Amino acid sequence: MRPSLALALGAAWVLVGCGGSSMQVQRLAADESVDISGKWNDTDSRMVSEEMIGDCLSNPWIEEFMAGANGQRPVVVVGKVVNKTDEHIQPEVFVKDLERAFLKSGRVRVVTNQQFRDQLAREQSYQASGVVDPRTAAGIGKQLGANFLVFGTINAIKDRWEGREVVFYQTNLELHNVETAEVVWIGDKKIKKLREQSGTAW
Amino acid sequence: MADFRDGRYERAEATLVANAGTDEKDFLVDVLDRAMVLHRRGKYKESNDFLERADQKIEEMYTQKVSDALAALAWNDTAATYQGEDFERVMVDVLQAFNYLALGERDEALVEARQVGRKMEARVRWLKEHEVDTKYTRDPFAQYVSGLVLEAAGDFDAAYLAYEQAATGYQELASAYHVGSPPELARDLARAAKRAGRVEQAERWKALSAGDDPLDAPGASELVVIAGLGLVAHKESNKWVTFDGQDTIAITYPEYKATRTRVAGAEIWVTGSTTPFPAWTRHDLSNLAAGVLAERNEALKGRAIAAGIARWVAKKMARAIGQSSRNQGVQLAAALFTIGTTVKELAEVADTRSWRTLPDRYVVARVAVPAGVQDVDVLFRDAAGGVVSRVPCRLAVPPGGKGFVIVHSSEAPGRWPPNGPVPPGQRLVFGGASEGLLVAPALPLAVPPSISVPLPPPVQPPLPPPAVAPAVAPAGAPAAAPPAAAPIQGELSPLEPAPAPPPPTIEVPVKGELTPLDAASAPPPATNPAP
Repeated sequence: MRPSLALALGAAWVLVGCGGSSMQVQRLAADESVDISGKWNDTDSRMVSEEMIGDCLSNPWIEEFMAGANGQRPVVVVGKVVNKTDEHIQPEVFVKDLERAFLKSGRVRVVTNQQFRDQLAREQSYQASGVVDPRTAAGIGKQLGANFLVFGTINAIKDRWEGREVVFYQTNLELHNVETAEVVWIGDKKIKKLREQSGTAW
Repeated sequence: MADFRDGRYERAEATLVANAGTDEKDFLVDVLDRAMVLHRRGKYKESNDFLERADQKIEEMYTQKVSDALAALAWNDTAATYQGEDFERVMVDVLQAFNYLALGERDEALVEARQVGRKMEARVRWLKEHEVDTKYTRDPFAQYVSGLVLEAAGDFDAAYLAYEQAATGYQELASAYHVGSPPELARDLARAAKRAGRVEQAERWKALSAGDDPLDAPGASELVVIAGLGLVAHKESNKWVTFDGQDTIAITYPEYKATRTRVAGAEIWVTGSTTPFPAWTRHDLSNLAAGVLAERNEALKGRAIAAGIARWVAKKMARAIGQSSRNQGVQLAAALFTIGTTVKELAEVADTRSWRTLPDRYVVARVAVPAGVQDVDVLFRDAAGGVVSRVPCRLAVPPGGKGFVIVHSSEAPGRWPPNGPVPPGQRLVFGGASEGLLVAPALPLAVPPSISVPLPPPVQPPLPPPAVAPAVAPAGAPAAAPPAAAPIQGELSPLEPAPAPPPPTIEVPVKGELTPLDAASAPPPATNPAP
């Protein structure tokens, strides 16, 4: 190979290798599972909430409640899910996934949790202020009281050595009867992930 | 740096933005400085965005790039990606915790506290497995801040473990880098152990504590003031050059030099107090940085000497080959190599990059206060006793809980009467006051030399020698007492007719649920342990 040709090829390699854009964007389906960092992500949140609520609803507490309430569906409020991991997990996302899973089942009724009650109260106050036609204004004192409260924790245990890390997430949820304080269901869901990172790269 | 040091944070940030290169190798140091400037500006969320990017970058750096090593070999260490000093990496989590406290997001601050615990545990394990000889095994300040956050959340067992790690860390550093153990730590350990139900440990630490712990009273509310002083030491390039009559060998290495700062200490005044509360040094960043680097420089020097000698030998050989060869091509190649290595020597400069916007040290004061609104005044003083800057704050301390004040000194020249209104553009920025915590930027306050006050007693007395294991230097008697605690009334300046703390004339935006202080509603004075 002549030196000039080698030089030209080298220059081309530099241009192609270093000059091109390194950013690419690709559209994905919202429910597609993508793991990048190995941390808790939307897929974990959705998967855990659906499986746990599925387990929760398969327990006899609903039938027992309905039998004593003239067939009325139980009213559930999703309380706080405490993040006890060392990752910045947004428990609100998980709470929404839980509410969605409950609603999708159609077997229970879900009421607004503490996070949004203030907004509801403000809207009610506005509607009662005289600005809104009283025939269409929301009535006061008609909110549903929850029969059951669900809350829980997300924990993580991590073991890392060199470039390998095993993360074990455990989500615990429990359902309490608000009136009797009876615990009617306890569930947990475990996820284990192995994350590997190379020690060297070009 | 002058803008940053003097508290002109917007200008400092503009300079950082203008100077930030697109070079990936400086990414870490760029985002760290941006994060600190944003923190000082009260933009905590934005600051955390940058810190999160820094965290991610640090994680990626586990993968060592071969191209980096080649770049450093071919040119110098500054051509490689900046990896960050170990103590800087730890401060990423600490500053994030500060930001979350400021935002009132204590759950997120807890996440950072847990991260510190996990990372330190992994670090200790790694150092042990790789037989790395260092005294900086775990960062005691990071562990201490974790303990504070965990204790505030009521997780006393985890808080105890964090404090215990801090105690061990302080003790290790005390013997190596003269970074002493804070005398109040034994009390913190005793209190956390007691509340965690660790009876034996509680008794052991109590025996090492001096005096009663006002924070241990049932339902006691607490004010925690964390103040950053001055600017951390910076790196300079040092060079060892030798000449053998024909060639020079240059070996460079970085060295920490103290950064000029006027601030020598801080004192804390709380509603109704007649003497200032002591603030103990909990993190001496400059000393730690210098100690760790000096320790590492021994190894660096060895490597640099080897590289320098290798280049010198290669150059000599090239010259000899060039002189002996009749082939013009070989002569040219030898000459080019000789020029190349000479240029490399000329370009040889130590890597002096560092997170320069960190403070010189952090001091912490923990004060038992009645629950409710508290006016807090943090005075930063120079070595002659003059007030360099002042941060007046107002916050609500929850019943049985903790209120956090996180402040930094600034050193702008100029005057600001201590009892006057806050000048436009320098209003305090409050973060999560309703949560009982607050972070505010320092306001400059210069006392004219003619009326500067006599030298006050040192904010922190000399630290005792480190205690023998397992105690962490409870430091005996001075733990509860402010150092010599001379009253400051009338000392501040003739501009101030009444003794500190500042009157509520300062326009302070307080969240709705807090009521302004008046004589009738003012809470009783804080419990000052001063004699």
